[in-house]
Amino acid sequence: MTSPLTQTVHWDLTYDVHLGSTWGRFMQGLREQKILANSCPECSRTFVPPQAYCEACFVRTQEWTELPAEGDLEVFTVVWQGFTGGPTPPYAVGGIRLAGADTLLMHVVTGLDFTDPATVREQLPHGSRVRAVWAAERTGQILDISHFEPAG
Amino acid sequence: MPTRARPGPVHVVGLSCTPLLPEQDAVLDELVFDAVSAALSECALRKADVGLSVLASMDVPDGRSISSGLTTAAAAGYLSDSYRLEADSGSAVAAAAQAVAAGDVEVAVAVGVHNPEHHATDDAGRRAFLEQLSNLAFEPAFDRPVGMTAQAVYGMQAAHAIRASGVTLQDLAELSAAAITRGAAGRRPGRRSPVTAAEVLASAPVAWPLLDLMFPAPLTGAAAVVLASPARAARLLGRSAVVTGTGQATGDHTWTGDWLTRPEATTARAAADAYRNAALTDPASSVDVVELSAPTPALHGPYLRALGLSGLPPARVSPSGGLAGGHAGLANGIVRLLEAVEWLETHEPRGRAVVHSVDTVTGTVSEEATVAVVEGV
Ligand SMILES: [Zn+2]
Repeated sequence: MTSPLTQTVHWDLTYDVHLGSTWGRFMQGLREQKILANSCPECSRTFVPPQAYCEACFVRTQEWTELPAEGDLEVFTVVWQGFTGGPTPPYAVGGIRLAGADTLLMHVVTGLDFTDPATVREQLPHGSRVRAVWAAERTGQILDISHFEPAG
Repeated sequence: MPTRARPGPVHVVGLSCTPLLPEQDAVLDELVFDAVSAALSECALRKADVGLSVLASMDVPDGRSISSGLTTAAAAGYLSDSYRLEADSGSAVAAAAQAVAAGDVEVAVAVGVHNPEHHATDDAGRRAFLEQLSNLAFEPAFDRPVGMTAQAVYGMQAAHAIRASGVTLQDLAELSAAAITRGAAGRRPGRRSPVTAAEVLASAPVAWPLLDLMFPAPLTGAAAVVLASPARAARLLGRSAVVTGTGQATGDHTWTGDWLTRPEATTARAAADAYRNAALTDPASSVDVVELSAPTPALHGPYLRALGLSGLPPARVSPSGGLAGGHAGLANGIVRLLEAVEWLETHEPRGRAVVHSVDTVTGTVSEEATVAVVEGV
């Protein structure tokens, strides 16, 4: 097939996404290197990211606590084929259960040697302890945690 | 216990799909028109006969904003009742079927179109664009900045399945190889050559542990179905199948982890709904074939269990090859329905099929699942 006729269209939009009071409080905490969680008064689950309401019990969350910046790596993947505009592969993304949390926080995970794809599983087995590495400059966004690295 | 009124059966009278290609040299609405007009031709109906059109499309891949203005007329909805869903076309079928079953209209059209406005020379280039759109579809404060995409989600789900359920990478490769090989001999091959498990295992890594041939080849196109009430269908030529029940469900965000540890839960809820509507109490013994939509081989088993169809012989699970050969985005729901109806038409006695579809925009996160029960007549 010869190349079809196309026309280049570019969208350049800047959004100011509203964080609200719950996520706003969490993001402000990150500036001070604090990971803040909240919990549901009925089912007692502790949320990171914090939630304004518990979706299961359908009540407002209460009680804030500060969690340690460490947890267990529940799962990860190595991205070998990334996306346009994204980080240069290979890189790893994982789901972290922070100590004291009932939820998964998704983040970038470092500390893997990508030379041999067959070995990545043994390098970071399920439940490996990982800790947050803080960005030098923090502006109140999730990337104030630069990434998680093996804590061992 | 209150009894629940069952919606009436809805007849499939027209069903069509455009060629499914890596890239189409066509404007979005032209594809919609091609699919809808071909589906109407099958049952010799005209635009004036259509009481409702439901279109499934998504503006971000289409490079448009509120594209109903462009596609309504092509979906036979000009100056009549029509709306658009940003969902897999399985949802459009369910919505159109409900309108017919409720007696709101005699004839309804559902159509799905997927035509990402991006030119690339290979599948990797096409996926890089689709993955960029996927990243944009993730929640913007927590998930998007850390690089979440559909492929990353599928990679993590597969990694979890290998650790927790005992399935091996070899098992996954064999599933993919068998499905691609079946699809290559089918009517709408995305990948045209048979492959072996060894070839799947030797293909390029995409999202560990998943490899290139474990993901569908990205396809584009449109598919449409014409549904009619039993009274109207009795006077029409065309397809001879009946939708006896549909069900839909939506999955959860990243933080609950259900997308990882219970990826089948959404499909199970949709199936429960569809089976109740169809009064299907024992799917294991009364379903002949399933058109399953497993975007990776690691979801094949969980989805099949959720549908209660793990006992079906392998040849009765996506005889078309399912998504292993190729995936036409939001058009998939109707493509799967087409494959199921074609299977029923070529087998005696006609039997019963289950059609399963999911959207793949953010992987198993916030996944939307649709299940339909279809019987040959
Ligand atoms: Zn609760």
